[in-house]
Amino acid sequence: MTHLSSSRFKVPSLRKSADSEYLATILILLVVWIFLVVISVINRSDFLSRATLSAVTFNMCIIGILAIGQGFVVISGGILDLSITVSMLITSFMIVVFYDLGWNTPLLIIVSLLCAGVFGLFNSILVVWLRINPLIVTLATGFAGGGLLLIVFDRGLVDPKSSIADFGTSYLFGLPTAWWPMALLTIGAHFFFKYSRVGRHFLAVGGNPLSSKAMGISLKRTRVATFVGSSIFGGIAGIVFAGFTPEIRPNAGEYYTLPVIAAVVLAGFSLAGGRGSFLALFISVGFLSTIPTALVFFGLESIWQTFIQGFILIIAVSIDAYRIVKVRGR
Amino acid sequence: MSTNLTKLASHDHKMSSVEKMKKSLSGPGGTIVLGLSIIIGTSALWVGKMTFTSFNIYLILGYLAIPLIIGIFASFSLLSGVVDLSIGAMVALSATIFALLCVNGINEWVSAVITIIICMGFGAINGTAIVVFGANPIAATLGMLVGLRGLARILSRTAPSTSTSQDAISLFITGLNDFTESQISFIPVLFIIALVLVFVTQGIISLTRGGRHIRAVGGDITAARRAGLATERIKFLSLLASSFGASIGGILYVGKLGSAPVTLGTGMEFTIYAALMIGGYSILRGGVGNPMGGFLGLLIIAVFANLVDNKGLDIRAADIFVGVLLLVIVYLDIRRGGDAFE
Amino acid sequence: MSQNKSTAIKTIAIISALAFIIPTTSATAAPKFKLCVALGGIPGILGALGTTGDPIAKAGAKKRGWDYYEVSNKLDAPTAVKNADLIVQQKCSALIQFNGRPEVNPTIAKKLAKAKIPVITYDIAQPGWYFLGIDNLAAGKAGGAALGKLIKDKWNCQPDLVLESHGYGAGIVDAMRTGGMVDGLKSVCPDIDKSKFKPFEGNGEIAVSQPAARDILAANPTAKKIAVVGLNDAGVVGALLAARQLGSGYEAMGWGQDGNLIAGDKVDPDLKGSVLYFLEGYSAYAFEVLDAIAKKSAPKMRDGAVNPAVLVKPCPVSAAQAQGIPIDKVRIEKLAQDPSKTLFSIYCPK
Repeated sequence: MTHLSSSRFKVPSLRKSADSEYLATILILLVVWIFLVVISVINRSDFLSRATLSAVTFNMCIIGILAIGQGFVVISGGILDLSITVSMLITSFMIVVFYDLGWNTPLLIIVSLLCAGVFGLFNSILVVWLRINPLIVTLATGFAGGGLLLIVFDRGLVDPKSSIADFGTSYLFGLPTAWWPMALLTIGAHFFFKYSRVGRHFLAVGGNPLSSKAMGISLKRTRVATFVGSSIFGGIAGIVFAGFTPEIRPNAGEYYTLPVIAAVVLAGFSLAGGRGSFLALFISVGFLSTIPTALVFFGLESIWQTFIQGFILIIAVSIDAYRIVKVRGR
Repeated sequence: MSTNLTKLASHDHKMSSVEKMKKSLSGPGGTIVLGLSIIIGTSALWVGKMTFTSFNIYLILGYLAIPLIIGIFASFSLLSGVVDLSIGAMVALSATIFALLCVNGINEWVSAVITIIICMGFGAINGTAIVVFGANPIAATLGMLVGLRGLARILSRTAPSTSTSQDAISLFITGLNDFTESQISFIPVLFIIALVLVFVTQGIISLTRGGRHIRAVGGDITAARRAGLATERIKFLSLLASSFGASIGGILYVGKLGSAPVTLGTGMEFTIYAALMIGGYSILRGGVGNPMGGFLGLLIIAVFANLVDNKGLDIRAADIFVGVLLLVIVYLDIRRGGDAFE
Repeated sequence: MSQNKSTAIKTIAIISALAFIIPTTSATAAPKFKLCVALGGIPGILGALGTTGDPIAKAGAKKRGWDYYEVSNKLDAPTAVKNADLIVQQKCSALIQFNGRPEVNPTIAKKLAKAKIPVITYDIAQPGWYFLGIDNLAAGKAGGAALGKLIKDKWNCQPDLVLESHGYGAGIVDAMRTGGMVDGLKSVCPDIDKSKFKPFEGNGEIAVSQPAARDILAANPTAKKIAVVGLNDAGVVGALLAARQLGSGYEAMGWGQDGNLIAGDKVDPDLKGSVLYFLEGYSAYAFEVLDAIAKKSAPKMRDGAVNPAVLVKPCPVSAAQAQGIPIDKVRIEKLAQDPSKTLFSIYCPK
C-alpha cells in the first residue's frame, strides 16, 4: 500500500484496458450512426441538409443534458437517478414562477437551478444518512415528486416574448443555441472524469467504493456531490425545456426518463459504476436523436420510434456485455 | 445482533408479554403485519364501518387480484436475482395481441394460447440477453419495456376501426368478462385463484428443492454454481415465468375491461415491485422474500388506495404517500440488518 | 412466524372492535342527493378538469345542499372500471363522467346501469348516458374554416404544408376535432393538394408535437408556408414552435381547439385563433339535467353527440378577439362568484 499515495489514485493496467474498451464502444457507436445516416441518404438524397441537422440537434438538447447528469450518477456508483426529470420540471416551473414575479433573467435562472439542487440534496440525504439504496430512493422520490408537482403546479406558461423563449428558438454558429451548452458540458464531463483528480475520485468510488474509502476518499461527500450534481444537470435541462415549451405540464417528464437511461446504457456505461465514456455518451445521444428524424424520411410513423429504440437497446446491451465478458473473462 | 444470544436470553428469563410483542413485531414478517394493521386501523377509524362491508372488501380484492397474479410470477425472477422491468409493458402487449386475434375471428382459447406463447417468446429474448449474453437485467428489461410499448402501439393501430380509439381495441368477451367478474359470495373468484397461487408458490419456495435452488441462485450465484446448480437455466426459466404471468394478466384484463388499451400496465411495475419490496423482496439482490409477504405488501397498498378512494382524497397525494411508504419500509428493513447502502 | 400471526390477529381484532364501537363518521341519516364526478386524470384533451377537479360542480352541489364526491382515474383503464364500482358503493344519485379512456365505457355503463345511477357524459358519447358537450365536429369545422379564410387572404389558398397535429388516443374526439378542422379548411380552400396534408401523432402535448413536427418539416425542406390544425392548442403550438425553431424563411399559421393557450397574455404569436370550449365550466350546464333528476323528473334520454341532452356552444375566437379573456383558473373564480351565468355568456365576445 505504501507505493500508492492517497492523493493520486491510479491503477494503471485497469485504466489502459478501460481506455481501449471505451475506444471500441465509441467506434461501434460511430459506425452504427454513420450506417444509419448512409442508409437514410440512400433512401433520400436530401437527408443531409441544414434542416435535418437542425432537427437532429434540437432532438439532442434536452436528452443530452439529462444524460450527462444520469451518466454522472451511473459512473459514480449511484446506479441510476430515476428522479432526474423531477429536477428538470422543478427548475422549469420555478422559472415561470419567478418570471411572473418580475425577477430578472440571470437571477431567476440561478435560483431555479438551486431549487433543483435542493431536491438533489434531499435525495443524497436519504442515500447517505438513511443508507437506502439510491435506486430505491430515486424511484420513491421520483414518484412522490411527480405527485407533488401535480398538486403544486397545474401548468406553467412561458411568455413567448421572454428571453428564455428566444433562447429556445435562436441559433449560434449555425446550430441551435441550446445545443452548445449540451455539447460543451459533455466534453467538459469527459475531461473532468478522465483527467481531473476529483473526477477520478468519482470514478474510483463508482468502481470500487471500499478501496476508495481506504484511500481516504469520503464516500459520503461523493454521494452528496453526485446527487446534487445530477439534479443540477436536470435543472439545466429544465432551462432548455422552458425555452422550448411554452406550456409546461407536470407529467412531461415521462417522455424523457427512458430515452435518457437508454442513451447512457447504449454508451456502454456500466450500471455497476466505475465505467463510462462521455464521448461515447455524446455519440449515443446523437445516434438516438437521429432515429426519429430518419424514420420520418423513411415514411414511417413516429410510433415505430419507441419500438425500434427499445430493441436497439436490448441488442446493444447484449452485445456490449458479451464483449466485456470476452475481454475481461468472467 | 446474534440470534443465539437472544435465544439464550429468552431461556434465561421469561420475557414479559410486552417484550415478546416487541420482538415479534421487529422481525420482517412483523413489520408487514404491523403496517397492515396500521393501515386497516386507520381506515376503520377514518372511514368507519364501510371499510369492512362486503362490497368494500370486494372492491379491494377485486382491484388487486390481477396485479397479484402478475406479481407472483414476477417474484420468481426477483428471487433468482433478476428484476424484470418489462412486465407492465408485456401486460399491454398481451392484451393487445389477444384482442387483435379475437377481433380477427380467431377462437378465444386459441388466441390465448398464441398470446402466451408470443409473450413467453419475448421473455426468452429477455432471458437470452441477460443469461446468455450477460447483459445487466435492469438495462435489458428496460429496453424490452420501451420496445414492447412501441410494439403494442403499432399492433393496436392495425385493428379494425370499430374501436373508439386507435390506442385501444374494444372487445367485449362475455364469457371471459363473466369469469373475471364472478364472485363466491362477495369474494372475487380471481382473488381466490391469486391467493391459491400465493400459497402454492410459498410452498414451492420454502419446501421444494427447486425453490431452494432458486433462492440459492439469487442469494449467491457463485456458491450456487460451485454447488453444481444449473444457474443459467434457473434464471432463464424465472424470466419465462414472469413473462407468463404478465401474459395471463393481459388476457384477464381484456375480459375485465372489455378492451385492450395500450396504456395498460403503465406504472404497474412500480406498484408490483413496491409491494414485493414491502413484502421482503429486493430488486437489487435475489434470494430474499416470500410470496405471502408480497401479497401482504400489495394488500397494504390496496387498502391505502381504498382509503384514498373512500374519503375522496386527492389522488395525487396518494402518489406521495406510496413513495414515502416505500422509503419507510426499506429503511426499517435496513435497521433490522438488511442491506444498507454503504 | 406464528407469534407474529397471533399478534397480528389480536391487533386487527382490537381495531375492528373499535371500529364498531366508535360512531361512524359518514352520515347514515336521510338520503341527500349525492352528486358524483368521475374524471379522467392527467390533462391533455381534458384541460383543467383533468388535474384540478371540477370546482363548478362542487360549488353547485354545495349551493343545493347536496353531498359531493369526486374521483379520478389517472387515464388508467383498470382504475376507471374500479371507479365505477366506487360510484356504486358511494350510492351516488347521479354521476358526471369525463372519462379519458372511453373504450371501457361499455363496461362502466353495465355496472352503473345495474345500480340504476343516471350518468351525464361530457363530450364522449355512450348509449344510455345523457350527452353534454360541444359538437366537436362543428367546432372543428368552424376553426378550420377560420384558418382557411386566413390562408386564402394571405397565401391565396396555397399553403406548402398543412400539418395535422392529432392525438389518436382521444379516438373519436380527435377524429371530429382535427378531422373537422381539415374539412373546414377544405371548405374555404378546396383545391389544396392531398399530398400537402401531413397527419402526425402530437398527443395533444407540446413535448410530443414539437419534435414530431420538426422532423416532418425537415423531411419537407422546400415547404415554407405552413398551416397547422390540431386536436388542441398545445398540439398546434408545438408545431408552430417547431417551424420557428427550424429557422428562417418559415411562415406558420395555426388555429387551435379548446382555447387553452389563446387566453391570457402569453399567447404564441403564430396562433391565430382557437375555439374556446370553456371545459372548466361545463358543469354549469349539467345542473339543468341534474336538477331535473333530483326532482325525480329525469329528462328524456338524449345520448348522442348528434342529439345531445345539453349542447354547449363553442366560442371561436381570433387571437385579437381573445385578448382580454383570462386563463382558465381566473375564469373559474369568476364563475364561482356568479354561478347562475355560464362562462360562455361571461366571456365569449359577441
